[in-house]
Amino acid sequence: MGEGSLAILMASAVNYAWRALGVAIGGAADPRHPVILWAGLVTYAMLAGLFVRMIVMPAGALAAVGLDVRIGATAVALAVFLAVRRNALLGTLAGMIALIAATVLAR
Amino acid sequence: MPDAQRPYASPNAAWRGGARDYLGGAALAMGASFMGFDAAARDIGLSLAQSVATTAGMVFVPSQMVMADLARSGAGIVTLIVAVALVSLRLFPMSLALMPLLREGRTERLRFYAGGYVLATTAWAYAMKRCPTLPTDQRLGYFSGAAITNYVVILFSTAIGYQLADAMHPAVTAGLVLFAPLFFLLLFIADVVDRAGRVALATGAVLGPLLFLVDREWSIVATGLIGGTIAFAVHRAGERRGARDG
Repeated sequence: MGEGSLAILMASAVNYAWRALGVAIGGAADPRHPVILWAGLVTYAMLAGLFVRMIVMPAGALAAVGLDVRIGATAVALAVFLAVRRNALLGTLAGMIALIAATVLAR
Repeated sequence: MPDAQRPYASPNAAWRGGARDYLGGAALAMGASFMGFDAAARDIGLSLAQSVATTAGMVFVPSQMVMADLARSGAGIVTLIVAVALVSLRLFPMSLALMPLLREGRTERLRFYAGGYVLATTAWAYAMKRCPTLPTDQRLGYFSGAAITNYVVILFSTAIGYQLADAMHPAVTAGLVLFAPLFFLLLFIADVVDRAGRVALATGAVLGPLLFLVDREWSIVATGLIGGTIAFAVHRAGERRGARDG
């Protein structure tokens, strides 16, 4: 408790401020307004960039796995995804299992 | 999902529909990624209560990681605020893009601020896809069903993951961390079918890692602004073409 709790509280407040600002401005806007459409596209670009980076240039536990294994697991996920009628969940499970299997077998 | 285009029978049915869509897909991805967060939380030295409190307060792994990391290194409160503000900036366009869709034709406020609090990428992605096909009185219900279910799932995953973090094989931890980015990329490929959306995803995917090499702190914001603006230009060009031809 103490300082750690204060940090969590402050960080939560700052984090929520952005959400609330979106509600305050976006709540009154027309969903077809160009700025709103633009914000949606900005979010998609941002998220795609973030998620690709998390796989290609990871930090933490995933960084210990070689780039070849990460790319391979992503390829497996994509192949399964395309094979089973674009099921994102099954594709992801296959990719995760491929990554774990390749890492364990390599040791 | 029985029929992706048909509305539900009632707002309550829409709530259940949102919860069902979430549980049938993203729940595993989010459970995995919050368990992945626990591995980092333990490294950093957060207690179980603190880990769960960061999830409850922020509902956003990147903010949680930054907060935990800075708190450990003894950074001042100003540094903490600036860093968290920067990493959570992306919640703003997310919220800005979704709220007009949820709130169209409705006047109450509080429920939408509460909705903003539990907003997460999962519920955002589902609601952005589903809500345009729903009557306005069902949209908040659908979103809340997904977002509140998500909130419960990530709280439990954080608590359970914390207990398991030390016992987990490093390969399994790596697999859990891979789960969320992979799942969202595939979900976007499946869901985002309009041309402008596709351009946004493609430019973002290329720019994200490239700009990260240039500037770590600003890369995500810059990726969004550049990729989103290019995609928006494509959208406008398509509209003009449509107006001319049609």
